[in-house]
Amino acid sequence: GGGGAPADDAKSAEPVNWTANSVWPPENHQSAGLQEFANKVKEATNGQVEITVQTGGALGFKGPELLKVVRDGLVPVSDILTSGVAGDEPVFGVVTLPFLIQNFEEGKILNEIARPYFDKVAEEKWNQKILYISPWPAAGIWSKEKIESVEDMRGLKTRTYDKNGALVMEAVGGTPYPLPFSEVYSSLATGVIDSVLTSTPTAVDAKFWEVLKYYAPINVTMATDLVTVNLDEFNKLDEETREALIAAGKEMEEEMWAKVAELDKQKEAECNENGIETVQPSQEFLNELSSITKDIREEWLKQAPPEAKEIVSEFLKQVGRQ
Amino acid sequence: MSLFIISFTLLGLLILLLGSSIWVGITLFLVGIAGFTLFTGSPPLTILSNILWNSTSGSTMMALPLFIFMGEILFRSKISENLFKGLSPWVNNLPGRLVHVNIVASALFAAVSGSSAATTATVGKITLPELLKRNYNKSLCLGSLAGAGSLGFLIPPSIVMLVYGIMSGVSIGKLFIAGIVPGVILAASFSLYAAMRCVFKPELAPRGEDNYTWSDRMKTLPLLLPVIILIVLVLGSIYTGWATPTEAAAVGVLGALFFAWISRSMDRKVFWEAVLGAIKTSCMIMLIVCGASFLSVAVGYLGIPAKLTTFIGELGLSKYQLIMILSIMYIILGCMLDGFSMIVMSLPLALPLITAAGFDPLWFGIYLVIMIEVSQITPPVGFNLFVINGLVEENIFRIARYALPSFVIMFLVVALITAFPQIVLTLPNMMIR
Amino acid sequence: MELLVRLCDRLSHACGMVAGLMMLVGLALILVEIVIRTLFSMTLYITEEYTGYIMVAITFLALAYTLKEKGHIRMIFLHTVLKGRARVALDIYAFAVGLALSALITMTTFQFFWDSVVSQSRSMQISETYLAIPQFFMPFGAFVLTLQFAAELGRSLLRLRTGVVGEEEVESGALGR
Ligand code: NA
Ligand code: NA
Repeated sequence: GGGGAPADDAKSAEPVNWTANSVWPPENHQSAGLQEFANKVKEATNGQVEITVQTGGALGFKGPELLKVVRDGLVPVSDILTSGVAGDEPVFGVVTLPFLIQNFEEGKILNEIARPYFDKVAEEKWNQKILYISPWPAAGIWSKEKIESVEDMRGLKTRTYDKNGALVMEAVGGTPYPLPFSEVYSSLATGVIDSVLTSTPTAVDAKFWEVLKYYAPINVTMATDLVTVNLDEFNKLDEETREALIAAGKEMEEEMWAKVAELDKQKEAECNENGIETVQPSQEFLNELSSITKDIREEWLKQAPPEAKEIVSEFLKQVGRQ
Repeated sequence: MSLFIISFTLLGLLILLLGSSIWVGITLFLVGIAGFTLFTGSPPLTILSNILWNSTSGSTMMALPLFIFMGEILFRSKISENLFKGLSPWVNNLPGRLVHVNIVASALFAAVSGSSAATTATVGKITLPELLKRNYNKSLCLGSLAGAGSLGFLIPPSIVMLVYGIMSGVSIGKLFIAGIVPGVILAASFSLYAAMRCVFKPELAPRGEDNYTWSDRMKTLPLLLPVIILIVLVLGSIYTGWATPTEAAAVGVLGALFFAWISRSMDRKVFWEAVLGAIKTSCMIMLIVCGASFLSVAVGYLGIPAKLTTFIGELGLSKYQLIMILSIMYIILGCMLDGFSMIVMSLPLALPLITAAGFDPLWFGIYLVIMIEVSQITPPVGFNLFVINGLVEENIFRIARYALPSFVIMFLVVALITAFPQIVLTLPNMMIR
Repeated sequence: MELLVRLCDRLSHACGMVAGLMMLVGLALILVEIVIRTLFSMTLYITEEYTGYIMVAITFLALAYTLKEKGHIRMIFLHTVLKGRARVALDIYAFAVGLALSALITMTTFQFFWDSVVSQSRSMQISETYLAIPQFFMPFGAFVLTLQFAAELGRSLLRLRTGVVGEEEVESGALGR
């Protein structure tokens, strides 16, 4: 890109005002992160690029459509739940593979391996640039009864949010219910369901301690969010501003990954203080979960795009599991 | 472009289109498109198709046609007739007589459904034809229904409380419990007002020919049984954990069909009439829901609610001045927006303001729910007005005028809970740590 | 022209009936889900997802039927004030506005649907349904609505031309009486 210097000057004379979309509540770490990113960008570009963050789905978008929304420039910048758009772009489904990663470090490795593939598909197929990828704490199981083994999971009625979560509950002998989030709380209170697969920030958002007692951090998956910018909008900026944006994204990404482990601990502590007991899973339990869900991962890989296969095999090589 | 100019352009266009006989839903779309086209660079049509998909494709929406279907079945069977025969001897000697059925039935259905539109439609379908047939005063009937129907949001379960809880971090369980007392107070106030009005003007609720003895009352009791069983069934299916609030609507339909069948008031023709009636009303409401969410998003893109709240924040007001001003702001927003959008768009700025002023966020949630109930009965965009209009073909501005006393009562209740926040806070804090 | 108008009415009515059937299917789906979940701890897997799609179908398929049955509400204050040809002219204006917007909605929802066809978008639930399938109800329903608006417009134009602008029934379900 680039172009001549005079053209660039002409471009940069006009300050840019972007709207950024987040479907999460304003206090959620992803929304807060997006706001912080907006602040960083404003500072780094001397107010040249001003980003207004709209949280809580105020712009009327829900999630699965966001790849198209940014592609078409309906909002120039958006936070996108990576697994949420796997229905549009199957390679993003790699982060939904259950029990692929065993801890936070492995999540980071998986993300690093996947990043170039994600960048490529986002730019070439979906007309957008990934500014940063920001993690969620890994999902565990929140329940009314103590869960210490696969045996304990038999017969659970669990709220799941996607296909692979549902398959996991099937595999352990429970029943998955893909309820909308707005009905989770009352369904737990009345007993339609008795457990939820999710991560600590969501547990805090929904005040699970009022309706649930136990949390087993079994690391089912570790979700991530992509923060992307429409490529046309991005390319309208001059070289210097573009680089400032990329630098701010990089900084933000490091911050978010550095913070997430602490955030997880802090949110878990908040749950504990309010009466939820954390039940650390034994290695045996984790191994059993991993082996019982092996078919799910293999089945997924069979129909996955070649890029996803490359990512997974490279990941398994790096963490020493084949 | 200033906030003032944008707001008044859109409002003017809204009134112009509505006034020139354009359908409500279509008007909302057109004003939204105008907002996008005139004042933003965003392409309205692509956003429109996203919003159409998002506002129709949620499973929770399914409760709407099902509850309306239930109302249609009850309406076409002997059950609704029997509800009146059964209740008449009991309230016949109260001033206001059967108007109280409107209010009691709304409060009961509110405990079943999560939304005002479904509550108003279900209850109105049963009560309004019966009341008007008995020559009850129109303003009394429609006004009390418009107010009481909006209890659907305040008496749990409630869709808007869920949204507020998730966004503000306030316990949803506490919110649900906190809604009960103000909900009962509000229902009682509606009843009290209707009674007072009829004390001074008994002809508003004309006495029927008959007088009832206690033995009559006991004899008509079985007539009430189907409705009571139905409510127990729907509520029971929720509270025993058989069904989510959405699914409970299906249980209600099944129960209504059963009673219609055993009372021999249902044949194939009547069944299809009920189905198509439900389809028609749901579609009418859904078109407006889609239009309203699109307009809300347009208004959000323009930053109107955010700028308005910021403006208020800069005024530096005292605690009670702030609530006054916020109430006025919510009335204005409520004329044009749906309840969900009112929360989502104003909360990020309103919540810090009110917590800084020393209000409990739990209390503010209940306040906001009542403000949203108010928005259901303020024209030009007021869902209860639309629903009632669909039932009795009365001008929505006239319905809004009939509902004016309910509007005032809601504000008196707001004043009451502002002066005595413990009305809201005691019960939930007692029941949940 | 009258034949065409009547054909549109037929089509709208048929779509309304299908919307009704859809509601009954949704009802059955939910009831079966409740029973097998409560009694057998089982699930149909697709209930939540498909009731959402059914809701799309109900909304869009019923649009034209509801218009035909005069179920969409509007304020007809002007309508009651105006008489004769002026009232028909007002109708023509309203139907033309409706026609234009429904044509726009047909176009944009068709693009939305087609986008899902091209990118083969799927749901994230266990069914992995191609989203284009439920999304097809949107342009289809909007198209039938467009036809119905055209039919209503045609009816009004005929009325204006033949001069039969007398006391037609005031629309039920309309605002402003
Ligand atoms: Na309710
Ligand atoms: Na209103």
